[in-house]
Amino acid sequence: MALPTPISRWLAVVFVALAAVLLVAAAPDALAQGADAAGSVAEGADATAASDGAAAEAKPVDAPGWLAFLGRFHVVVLHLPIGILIVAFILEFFGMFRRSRGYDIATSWTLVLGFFTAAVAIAFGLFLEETTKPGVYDALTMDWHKWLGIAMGGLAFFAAVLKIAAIRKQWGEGDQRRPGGAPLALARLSILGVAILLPVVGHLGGNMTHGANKLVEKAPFDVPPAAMAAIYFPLDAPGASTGGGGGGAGGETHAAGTVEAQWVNEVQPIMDTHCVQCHGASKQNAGLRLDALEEVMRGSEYGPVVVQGSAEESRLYQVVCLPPEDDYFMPPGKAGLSLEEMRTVARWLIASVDLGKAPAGGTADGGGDPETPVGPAYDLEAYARLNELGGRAQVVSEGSDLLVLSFANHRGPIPEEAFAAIEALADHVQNLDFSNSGVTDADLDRLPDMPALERLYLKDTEITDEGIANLPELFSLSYLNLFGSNVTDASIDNLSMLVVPGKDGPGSIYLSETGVTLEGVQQLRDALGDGVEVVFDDSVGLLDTPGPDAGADGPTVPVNTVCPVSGTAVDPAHTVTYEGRVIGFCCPNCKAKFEEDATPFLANLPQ
Amino acid sequence: MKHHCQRFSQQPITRRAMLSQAAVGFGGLALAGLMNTPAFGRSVASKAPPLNSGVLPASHFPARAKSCIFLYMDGGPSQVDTFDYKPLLHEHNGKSPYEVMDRVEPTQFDDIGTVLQSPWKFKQHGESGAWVSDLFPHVAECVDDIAFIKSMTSAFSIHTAANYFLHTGHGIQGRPSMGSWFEYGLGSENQDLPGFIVLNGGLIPPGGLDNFNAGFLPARHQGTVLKGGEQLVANIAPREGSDTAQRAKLDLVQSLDQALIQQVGGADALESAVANYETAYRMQTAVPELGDISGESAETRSLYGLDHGNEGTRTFGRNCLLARRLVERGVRFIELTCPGGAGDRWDQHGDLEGGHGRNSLNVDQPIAALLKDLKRRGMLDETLVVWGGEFGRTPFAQGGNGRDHNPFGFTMWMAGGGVKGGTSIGTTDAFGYKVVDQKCEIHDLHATMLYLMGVDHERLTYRFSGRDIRLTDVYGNVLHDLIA
Repeated sequence: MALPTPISRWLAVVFVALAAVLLVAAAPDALAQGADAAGSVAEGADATAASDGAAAEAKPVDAPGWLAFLGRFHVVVLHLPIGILIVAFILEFFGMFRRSRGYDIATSWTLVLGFFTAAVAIAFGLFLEETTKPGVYDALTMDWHKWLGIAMGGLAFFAAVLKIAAIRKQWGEGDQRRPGGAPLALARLSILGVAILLPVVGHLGGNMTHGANKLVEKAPFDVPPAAMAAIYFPLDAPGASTGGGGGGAGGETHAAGTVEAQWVNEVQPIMDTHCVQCHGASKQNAGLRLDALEEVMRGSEYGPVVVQGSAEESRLYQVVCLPPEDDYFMPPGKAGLSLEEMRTVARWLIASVDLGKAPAGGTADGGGDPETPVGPAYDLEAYARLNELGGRAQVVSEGSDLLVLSFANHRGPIPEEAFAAIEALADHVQNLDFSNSGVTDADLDRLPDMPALERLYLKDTEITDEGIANLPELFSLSYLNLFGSNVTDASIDNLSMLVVPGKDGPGSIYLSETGVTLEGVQQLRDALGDGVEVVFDDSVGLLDTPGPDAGADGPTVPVNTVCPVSGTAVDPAHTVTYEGRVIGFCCPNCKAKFEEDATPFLANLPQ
Repeated sequence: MKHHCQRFSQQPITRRAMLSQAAVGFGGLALAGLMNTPAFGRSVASKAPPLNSGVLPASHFPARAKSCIFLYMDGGPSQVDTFDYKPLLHEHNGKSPYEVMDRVEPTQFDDIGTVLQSPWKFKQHGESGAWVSDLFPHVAECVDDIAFIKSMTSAFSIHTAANYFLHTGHGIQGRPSMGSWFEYGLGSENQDLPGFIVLNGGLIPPGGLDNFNAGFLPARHQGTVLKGGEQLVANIAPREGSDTAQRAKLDLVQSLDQALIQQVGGADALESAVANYETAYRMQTAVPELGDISGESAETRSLYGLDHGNEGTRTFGRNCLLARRLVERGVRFIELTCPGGAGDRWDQHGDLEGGHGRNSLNVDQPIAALLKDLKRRGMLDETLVVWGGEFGRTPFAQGGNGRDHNPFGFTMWMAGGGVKGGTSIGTTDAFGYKVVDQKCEIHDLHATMLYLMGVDHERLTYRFSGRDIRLTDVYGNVLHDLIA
């Protein structure tokens, strides 16, 4: 379970403060001055955390700033306590058999240092958890890692305190022998505990960042299942125990004939073989897990991977069909799915439109979100802030978590904070309207990935080709309005990859009154096909309009099949009516030549 | 407080407030408290933050259209001369309607002449093959974006009542206009302009400004009528020497008004007056900016017919262009009235050919321009355009060469915002006289318009005289066949 934000923050502060107090208390006279400095560092950290508190409390996830920044240093700092505490253990262990009092001094110092670095690592770890989207790390592993880590830190603290107490008591009383007795025994027990927990915590952390498989995947022998289970500990999610693709015979049962059953019986084994290694319990690249249906439906951090009822639109299918050399090909560097496996996946995706529907009489679970969220899922603070910043945010409709964000008619630059607000709402943005606003090319570079974004309005703005190139990947974009912007034909390639067909109709791009030419538009139309409509002056009848009556009736099929100017095949899109006959051309250039002077070409026309 | 004018006494309490307080007293207060709880049916405040000053916290459905433009064809254009092609009229031209039609209803002037064929030729247009007469050569180019309702009916056959019915859902004076309902429910996306604007082409319809009234809704939702021409609002330039002086004056007025509001409790007339002063203050900049079309390209101006030889075309074209500019500025509901000038409204009891011809010349090119311009700007799919009059006209003559009012079957159309282009629903009989299939009422039109704007017409209500009242009263079905 995740700790409530304030508690987690306080824990971190308490650990650092404890560490500092201990340092000061334990410091021999020679180091007293240095300890003061350490104390003030700790106070500084305390103050930073507290001042961050007010601002950061509002946006617990993905907050930029100090917390996120420090959180990333967890993986750097954690190596210190590991090394130092192991040294403390070794010193204490060998010290048991030696007479020198130097061992006592050395162990107490390494313990203090070990605890201090552990406290910092724990604090940073808590920051990291707090500023990372849920789902990026396996929640169960994270819980164990966190609590065992904190327990270990606590033990190190006890060990240090007890050790120092034992030394001070004995030597303070003038007894110059090495200390002993109950406090020391307890201290040694604690050190033993630290030594046992240390590798476990470290291993769990490794599992989270690298995936459990990585540890033994190069083993030159078969890892026995029992050992494998130990390595996976404490992961007990479905795909984990199946390792090499045994098929999910897990606890979940589904009524035969449901889409859920089809997943378990047909698709999950394929996932287990090809995908789960990187998208499973132990490792979640892109935040995606493919080891259980609920996980698949949850999608990746870039958005859903399944479009129910359509294989072609589902990311899950798209990436396995790509050519192996493609950047997005899955699984990268492997042979990929067989044709039959691809078909199985596709069949299931098409059938997935019935997900959650029970066959007659049966009940089916799964598919739906297990937790019913209370209140809106989006960040209300960011929502309100956007309205304060001169934009408008509103939900698409009641009960929806999707949002319409608008800076339409906002003259002058879009405030910097607006982009932080947009980022906080990124997963929920369906419409983003910058029409007639001061949005700049650089602003578009600040936009976060918005997996749900369907409509983007850049109408009547100063956006250029650079802005288009700056746009993040927007997998659902089906409406892009660039009317009156400064884009040119140079954007055609980018545009052809930006817009996809809509959920219930073709997608659309608007390019009138831009630098884009009719040739560019035609090139774009060729690239996009029927799924996306390119709206330009010609498509609303504002170019080459032959008057209100002419277009309505009369033949439009050319009388010729070969272009009279070039001699190549006719494109019916380029025609001219000459002496009552419709003449076709291969391209607009030939048409222009013909219109200039028709006589040289008349002989080439059929009589 | 005694006023210096002794005859002026402050109204201490409104009549309604007096009655309700005297009648129920503290018991009433307790009851009011009770009634405000969810258990008594009051809707629980939604978690979603409020939607642009409208009463709905969020739209009921995802809105297909953000704004609506109502092209109001004052007077009742003839369906059989525009979009409802009836070749049989040609065949029976000159015959007595009593001989060829099943049953002929009494008409307003009861001067029933012979069956009158349309003086205009019809042709099929677009991929949908919709029939359009030569009255609308430009609109004919846009038929693939248009959904026709050929089975519209009205309950009234006189202008005033039919206008109230079309605008407010009631045949009597005093109900809120649909534009007021839209703004009341959804608010406006532009706080510098009113959310319901009427662009006056010159003809204020029979029934007068009550067609644009807020009725029992708060008065600030009333339609604001902008004059056509260069200056959209009279006296829009401030008379005060500086903005500070004007602001000081307005602040004083507002503080006086606020004091009175405190005294009498939230009276709509006062609160709306305060709101209107503030909107008017902001309109001093917003309206001249709106009316300044110098930034529009020459192509756009000529597309809308601003260089047309006919004055009515120029007027209506300019208003269509302004309508588009208003939509761009987030205004919720815009109604255009027809140009005045030499001719009459679409009300040709005589001289059908001349009168309809002049009216269509005024509006045809601008309407087509509006549709095309909205489309190329990527706005058509979020702007609902509705075209129609309060009723249609008889397929037989009134006297010699005119047509009388006909509420039994006429054509309206919608385009854009969620509308399935290139479709047509409903049919009239072989003469285009009465609806025989898929009869639609004005309430259905309102329900559909609200639906496309994301509003459930059964759930947008205002409590008045003890009842939660809707635009569609107790009627109305969404015309799903028209929706994409």
